[in-house]
Amino acid sequence: MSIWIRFTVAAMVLGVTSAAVASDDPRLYQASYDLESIQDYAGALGKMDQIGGEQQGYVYHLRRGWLLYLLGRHGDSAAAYRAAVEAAPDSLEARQGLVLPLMAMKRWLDAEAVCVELLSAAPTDYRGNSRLAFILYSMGRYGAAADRYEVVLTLYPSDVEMRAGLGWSLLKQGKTAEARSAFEAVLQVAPSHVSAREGLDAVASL
Amino acid sequence: MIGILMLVGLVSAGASEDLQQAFARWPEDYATAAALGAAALADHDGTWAVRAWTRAAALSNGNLESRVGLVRAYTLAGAHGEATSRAHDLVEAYPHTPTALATLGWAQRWQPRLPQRSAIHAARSYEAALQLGGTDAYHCGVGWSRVQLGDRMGAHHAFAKTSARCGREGTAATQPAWSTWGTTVGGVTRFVEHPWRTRSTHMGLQAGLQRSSQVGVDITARRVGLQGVEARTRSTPAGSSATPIRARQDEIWLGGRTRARRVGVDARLGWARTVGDIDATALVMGGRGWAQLSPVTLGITGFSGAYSDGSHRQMGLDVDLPVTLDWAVSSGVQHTRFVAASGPSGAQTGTMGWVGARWLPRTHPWSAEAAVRIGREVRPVRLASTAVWNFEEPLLTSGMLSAGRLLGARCTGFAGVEVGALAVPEQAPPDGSLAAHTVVAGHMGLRVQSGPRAEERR
Repeated sequence: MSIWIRFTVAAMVLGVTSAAVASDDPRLYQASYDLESIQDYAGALGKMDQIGGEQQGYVYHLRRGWLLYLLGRHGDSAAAYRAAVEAAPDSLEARQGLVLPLMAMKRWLDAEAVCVELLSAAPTDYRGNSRLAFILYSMGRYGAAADRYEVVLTLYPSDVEMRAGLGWSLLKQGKTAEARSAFEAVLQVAPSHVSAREGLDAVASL
Repeated sequence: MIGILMLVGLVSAGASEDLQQAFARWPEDYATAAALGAAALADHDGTWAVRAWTRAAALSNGNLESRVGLVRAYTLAGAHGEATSRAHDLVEAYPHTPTALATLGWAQRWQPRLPQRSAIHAARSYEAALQLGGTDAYHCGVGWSRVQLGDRMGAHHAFAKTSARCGREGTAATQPAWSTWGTTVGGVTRFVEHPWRTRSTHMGLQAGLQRSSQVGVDITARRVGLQGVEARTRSTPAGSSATPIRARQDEIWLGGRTRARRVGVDARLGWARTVGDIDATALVMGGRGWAQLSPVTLGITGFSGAYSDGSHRQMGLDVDLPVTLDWAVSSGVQHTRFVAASGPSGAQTGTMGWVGARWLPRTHPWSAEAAVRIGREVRPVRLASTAVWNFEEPLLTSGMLSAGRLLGARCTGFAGVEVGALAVPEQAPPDGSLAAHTVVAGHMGLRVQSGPRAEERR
């Protein structure tokens, strides 16, 4: 086969393939969702990776960030979420997602920065506030964490997870009476709440 | 503090390596830094403790737990100045917080400079923490501070106030108990160019009994054998006349002591009799009262003696300053007065000043002590090594050096030498100065102790 013929065949194959992928995007997304639903995250990511370069927009990066996070590839996940943020700079959900791998990598300072950025745009955002509370707690900033848990509880007073978090933040500050009150409030409505029970035990052991 | 202690209890020593790896992997994670810091404290690894708690404090913007950990870490690393300074900052940042005050107490308690002052300050910090409602485990801090001040009974009372493990350990360590000791000492004294004394030997035995640190009694028996030559320097046409002199002096001393928290008294009653070519008796009584005034211990000494040839009075003031846990310096003045019962000599008086230092390391088998006395002493009573220096001649100046070595957990060997100058008034040169003869006294002995000893692990 001459060089010219070889070039022509290759060009035809590439063209056909590209056209097929473009037309298959919805089906690739759907296949990815289906595989995720049966916890085949690698397969779901594989379907996303078949999406052509021109189609790799905000949703593509966002979804990849999520699937990579589920696969435990936290560094890649953070990169994918950052690409999503670049694609849609005002997006809240991309930042909400970006916080997840950063938290998983215990990169609390970066995670805090993302939350602060997110909350500057949406001060009452539940995920931003609740994750920031946990991040502050994880950095040992118990006073700031308690304040943030209070913010969430003002907006979502029935959230027992947040109230338990508040209890631990108070306990770590040595505010045992207030901590006890928070743990008891959780156990009043969620008697099997493990963290609140442990917190109450910790208060009792002091 | 309690949070830290809980964490320390939960982290096993073997976990440190894993935590060091986690510390490197997750540099922004407070929980990892705090866990490593706690493990390092439990492992007595000051370097890692400082490293971990420093990062924890930075991440948390200086929360209470991390600052407490950092104070303890610096204490462990031997950076006591830094630890105390940070503990003061902690109390300022968290006023009226029992944990902060107890942490200051901790830093002060391990402060090796002026340990007596540190212990008093530490006890005050712990007591303040308790008054603010701190955990009753802080009684342990009070207890160990009192142990450091020698107040075992007070410490025992403090330990008994808490049900915490440290309280049980402290209570056991300071259980009121009898302890006993025995000392044997012997020595030789040489007199250089003395008109008639040549040498003397002495040997003593002491047995003591003590109930905790509160009360104690002891008895000492001492025998001095004296040899001399009368008219050694006189000559007759027939040649030198030299009559040997031999005498024996027996001494019995009874001692008793008692103390409260920061004051105490040590009393002595001594009887001595010299027989042989010299015939004399002496009855001496007196003692020393003391008070711990941070950072020093002040003492006042008084003795009264009735000798067969006169009466004797001795008054002294002394100050003792523990500079570090191992080193102490002391100083004092002493006035002695002897009034002869008969004869033209009248009253002899002397005032002496002294300064000394002692090295008593906790972790080293050797110890040492040295002192210099300058000024006249007339028949001084030595309280530390109960004895009467009942020479007719005043002691002008002297210096002593002694050293001890632990020969086992409860046995100490010691030896020392004292060199002095005896004034001989009848040989005074025409310029008015006093003639002096050198006296060299050496001793060595053994001390054995039994009974409980209270020691705290950091």
